[in-house]
Amino acid sequence: MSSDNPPTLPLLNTPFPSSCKLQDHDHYLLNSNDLLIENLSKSNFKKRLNLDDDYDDDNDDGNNNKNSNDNSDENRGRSRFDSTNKRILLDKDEDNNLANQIIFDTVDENIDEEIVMDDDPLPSPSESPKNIYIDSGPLLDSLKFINLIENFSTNSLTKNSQNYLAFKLLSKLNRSTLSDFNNLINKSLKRDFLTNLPIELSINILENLDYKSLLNVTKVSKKWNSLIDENFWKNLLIRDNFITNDELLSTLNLNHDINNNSQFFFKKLYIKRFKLYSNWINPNFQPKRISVRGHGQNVVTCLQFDDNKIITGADDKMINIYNPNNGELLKILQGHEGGVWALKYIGNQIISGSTDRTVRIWNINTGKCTHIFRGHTSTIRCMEIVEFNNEKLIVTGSRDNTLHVWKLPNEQDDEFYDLNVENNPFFVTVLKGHTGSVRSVTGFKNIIISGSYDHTIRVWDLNTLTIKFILKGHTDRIYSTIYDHNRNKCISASMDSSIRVWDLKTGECLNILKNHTSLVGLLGLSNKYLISAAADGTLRGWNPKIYTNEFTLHHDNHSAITTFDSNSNVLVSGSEGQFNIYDLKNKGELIKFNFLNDIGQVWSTKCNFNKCIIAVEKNQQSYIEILDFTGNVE
Amino acid sequence: MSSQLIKITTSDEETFKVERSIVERSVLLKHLLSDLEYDETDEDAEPIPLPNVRASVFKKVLEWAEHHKNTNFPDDEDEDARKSAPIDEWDREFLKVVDQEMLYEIILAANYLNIRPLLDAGCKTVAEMIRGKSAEEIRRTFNIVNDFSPEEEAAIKRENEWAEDR
Repeated sequence: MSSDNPPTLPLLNTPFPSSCKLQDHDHYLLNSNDLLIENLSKSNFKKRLNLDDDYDDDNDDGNNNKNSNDNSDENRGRSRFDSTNKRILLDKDEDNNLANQIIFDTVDENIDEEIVMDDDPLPSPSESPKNIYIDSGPLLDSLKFINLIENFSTNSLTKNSQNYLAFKLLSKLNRSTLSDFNNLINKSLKRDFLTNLPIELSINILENLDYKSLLNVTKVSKKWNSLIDENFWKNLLIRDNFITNDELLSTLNLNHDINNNSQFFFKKLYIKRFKLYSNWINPNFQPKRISVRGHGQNVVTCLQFDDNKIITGADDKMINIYNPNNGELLKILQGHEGGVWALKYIGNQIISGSTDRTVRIWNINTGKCTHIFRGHTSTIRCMEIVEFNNEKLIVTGSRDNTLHVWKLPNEQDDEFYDLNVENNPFFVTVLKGHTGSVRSVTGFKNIIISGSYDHTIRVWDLNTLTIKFILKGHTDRIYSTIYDHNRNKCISASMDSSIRVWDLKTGECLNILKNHTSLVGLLGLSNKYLISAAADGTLRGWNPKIYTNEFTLHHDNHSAITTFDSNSNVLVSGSEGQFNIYDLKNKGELIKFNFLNDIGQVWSTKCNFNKCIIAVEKNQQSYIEILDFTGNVE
Repeated sequence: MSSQLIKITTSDEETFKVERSIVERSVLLKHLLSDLEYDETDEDAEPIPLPNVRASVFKKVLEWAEHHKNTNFPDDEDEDARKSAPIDEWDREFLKVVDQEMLYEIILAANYLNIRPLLDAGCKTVAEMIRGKSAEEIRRTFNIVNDFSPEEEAAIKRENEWAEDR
């Protein structure tokens, strides 16, 4: 036998696991029964089984290995006896299920061989080795003895002593037997993790799975099925940015239905949004494209859409409404006397601002202008709508260096008003202070942030109608501002090529991000990234908490980025002659490059979960492009 | 030298002596040490009892912590980064070779001791045992009895049908 062979009795010299080590107190029997031991030790088994050693070990020497080493030959013989008898014992044991089968087989196969190979005197007085297992006398005695040991050990020994005994027996088993045991033991150690673990850990496990695996999980058992409820899917939707905050808010009203598990709303939505996202990022998926004529030869300045309507404002003084599903031009809103340069819709109302210095309110259903607000003395360039004190307020920024605040008229109020500041019940206030054009305005609740060509950002409080901060530091015009109300910060982008982050508790500048090399014109904030776009032909993604530059995306012709938008998972961007799609879940990996290769200037783009709308110039004509990523997703 | 180590006694009364930096991978023990103002230079310092972890499991936890002695784990607060990170290769191997009972106990211990990266690795390991398997394969993997009636099974199948790929 080569010395390279692994040991025949692998566990023989293995240190005892701690649960099998004898502590001081294990040396005392729980229910001491000296008589029993005495009887045992006096019985004629003692000699035949060479048990004296064992008892000595057990009682005197917690570490036991010395003896075993010294008597390894003897041990081997003994162990074979022990193990074979143990098998029989197991075999007779009605409680053993799986064990029976395998152990029984082993006995059948190995008895002869074992006995032949055994050098030691056979542990049976019988003359015929084959008879030892069926000879009722000694067999009965063996079994009795084994039962005795078993009962004794379970009734009288401490836990550790029992483990110690079991391990001692195991350590005398050969490799094949151990392998069989190992197999059985491993099978019997299987565990229903999700049922047994605390529920928050089970949820933690499940959150690592894709939806297809999750659907299989729901089929496993009642318990597993119950873990993946509507709340679980809802949390996945939020985690994966597959639901907007507005959508989430609107589902709060559905809440009682959701508890009744009505229609598996969140589950269906999650799987739908997942499939849509898969379409977006699949380079081989071809979205359905519809091209429709836009605003003649004029620049499209404003674009907003949802599942039912696309609304565009343009330099041709018009506002167009299209059907996003087939591109049909539904309405043209006519009235402005100059180009439309600011536009937002909310509910059934469009609010628009123009070079004609007026703000106009339109009813989307009727297509009629309901209100004209006069007051600004120059072009209205930017607009924000905030909700404050249960009232919706319009804030407009203008080249006249001011911001005007107006109440949004009631949607049902369908009469026509043409109002000057003096007689306008909807007029709230003028925010004065900037010494240059107001180029950007953003807000939330009572806080309004404006960025101006005067190089400053001003933070206004509509509660007190006062200015909170004048943020100074930029050395050129401000083109874009973001109000990160969750972190109470403001981010500004400037013609000085830098982005600044401001603390709105103190008004101090926290960060200056200088990576761009030219005018930074656009900013966007999603859950995962702050995104900036510049005239240097790049888009940059920033960590919105610590403002590290996470990725940089290049338009290869180096022309200024004119527009971008994101649905939190994908990013779309446009420049002169180029429209690209990037995967935001994957650090902005490029999915589609120069996707619309027949276009010229890209003016504006917006996307939601299933569609992307792009206002472009094609052969000196204005077009609205609709890309639909729905595919076969219901 | 040994006086520089922290003594910890497991539920089965085995006492371990461990470096502070290793012990402090456990947020629970880290806080405990600072609350107790534990002084490892004091020879007579009482061992810290860990009534919920047995020695074999604690040994595995220590083995993990020892390996990751110099690892910088992503920010605990950054759920996204933690969740989306793949299992560390070493962790995968480390957790793959243990039986399900040990994995179960490691997860419970990591949870109790508040060792976020080990807990995440454990949970992801179980997730990998589930991922891509049919319900029947999952039941076999974890020895689970199908307790659905045929009607319930049919209902779930119907409920999922629309989501299957066509």
